[in-house]
Amino acid sequence: MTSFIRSELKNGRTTLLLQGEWNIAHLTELRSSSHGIQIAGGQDILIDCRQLGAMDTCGASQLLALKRRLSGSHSVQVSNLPQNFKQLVSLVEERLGTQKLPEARSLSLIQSLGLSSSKIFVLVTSLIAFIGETAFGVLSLIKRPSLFRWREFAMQLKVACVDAVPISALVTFLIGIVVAYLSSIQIEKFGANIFIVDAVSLALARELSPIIVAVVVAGRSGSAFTAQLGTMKLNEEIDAITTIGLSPQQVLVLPRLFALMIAMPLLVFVGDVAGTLGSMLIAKTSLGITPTTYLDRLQAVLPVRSFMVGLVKAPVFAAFIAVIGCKMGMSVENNARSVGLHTTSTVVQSIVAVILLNAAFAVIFVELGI
Amino acid sequence: MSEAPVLEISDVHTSFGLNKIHKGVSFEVEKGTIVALIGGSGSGKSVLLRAIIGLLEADQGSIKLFGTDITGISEQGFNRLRNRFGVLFQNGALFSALSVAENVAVPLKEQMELAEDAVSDVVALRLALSGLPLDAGTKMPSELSGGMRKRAALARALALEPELLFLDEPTSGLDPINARAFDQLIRTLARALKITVLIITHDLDTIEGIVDRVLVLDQGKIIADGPPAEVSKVSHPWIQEYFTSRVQTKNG
Repeated sequence: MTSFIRSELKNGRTTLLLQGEWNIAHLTELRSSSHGIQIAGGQDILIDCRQLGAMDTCGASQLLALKRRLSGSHSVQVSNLPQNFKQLVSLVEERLGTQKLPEARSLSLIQSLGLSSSKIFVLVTSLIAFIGETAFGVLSLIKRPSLFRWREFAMQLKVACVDAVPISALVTFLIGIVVAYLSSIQIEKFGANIFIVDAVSLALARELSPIIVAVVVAGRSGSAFTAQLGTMKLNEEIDAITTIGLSPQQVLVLPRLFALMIAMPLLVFVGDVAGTLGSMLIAKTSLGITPTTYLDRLQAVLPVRSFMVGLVKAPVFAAFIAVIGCKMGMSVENNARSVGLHTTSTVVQSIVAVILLNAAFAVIFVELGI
Repeated sequence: MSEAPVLEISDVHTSFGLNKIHKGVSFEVEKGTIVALIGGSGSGKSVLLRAIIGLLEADQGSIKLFGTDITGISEQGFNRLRNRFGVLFQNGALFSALSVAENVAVPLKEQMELAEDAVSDVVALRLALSGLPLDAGTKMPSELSGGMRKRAALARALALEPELLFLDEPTSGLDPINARAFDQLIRTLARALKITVLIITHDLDTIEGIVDRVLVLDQGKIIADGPPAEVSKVSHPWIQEYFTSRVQTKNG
């Protein structure tokens, strides 16, 4: 390795002869040779650039750093710096000077915990505010029904409901199979084969189908709402809607809200049917219960009330998913990354909200004796 | 002493489907010059830039960067060239998940083996050279104004001391004061750092202010080439309209 600095002591004066290419390709070596220069105090120092092969801005800033460091305890002179490098050095000196890059702010564990907790608080309060705004939007819609956007509503209904049928059916069908299979193993031990219908149909209608469909809808429609509205926000389309004299609330939020509230119960019904088909399949293959027997038993043991419980929960879940999705979309900040972050957050918030609501429903229904 | 041109384009053809964009574009860019490429909207300036920096393959013709033909070059071979040029994209193309300082550090960390403190020194140098206060380094790109974003993007483009700099509409979206300051910055850096610059622009002030040579792209070909004062006298309807556009609106 060639040395970039050669030090010569002559008549009580040190000459530092700079050699080689002082550029970014050799920055690491340059820095170590430069740091290696230690000169006893009181001497005059001459930095001689006669043999400097090449220099770029990184080399220039190394030269300046060296000069500055030595100037603390010595009188330093730079000589023979070629004209074109001189320009470079003076540009770097003028622009950079002695500035250092400030440390990036980094948070301690406690600080980030506190920060994310306070963010949850802000999130919840702003969600409550948005629910309030949406409620006012609904009120003004009731006063003037002509405001309703039928086209947008129909489009959203198609996307949120019709297009979601296959995936909802598939997922609940598989859940039906799994639950029926696990129950059948236990039930078979008691020889109480027919009770598979009681167990699976109740679980499906009251809990599994609404929850599973809500998760699918949160992932499909909730995230789509955030991505759509977020992109519109980014593109100033929402501001344009306001400027044209329309209410983004009426044009964007309410059609999505109502579409999802109608779509969800329908999807839950699809889920009930698909889950039942799945468990029928297992009942037939594992326990020898024919579909006819299964349906007979289903009619006898599944109260309509339990079936209705599932359908009543669905629009409430849907309302929260839609409101969260729209709110997160409308609150996207002015950068593309924010759209992604908000979309993820929508799915997480929606699923948490659905589980909380489901727990609340369970308590309410028990208290009401339903 | 005449050195080999930094960029040599000969007979380049590109197309999107049946739509022919370039029908034989040829020009050279000499080392150390500031060259502007102008042309109407949709004349294929940006497409040509994408072809030069290897984001798009030309149908026909050759593009030589630093004397190396990039048509049909291996990815590895092209990567060596990539370290020698920098690109300032139109909207900055700063990575939104990273702070400004981290943005500038990306090429340094990925392409060079430097210690952490060396990287931060080079980042500070780049930010300072681009005319940014160093505390802007801790900000996120979304927190910057348009002018600062361009400067941050320039700092990243300059990170590896490129010999050649491509600027796509560097002054678009800036107010005239910021735009002229940015022009001046480019000229100062190009002169002091001996960088060759190819600017794609619509900005007449940039052309008259800092450019050595203008290339005019129209109908898929270069129709004029020379110093701004000469090109403005070429009798071609688009060129005449372009160079007199300011006067026309004033009198119109």
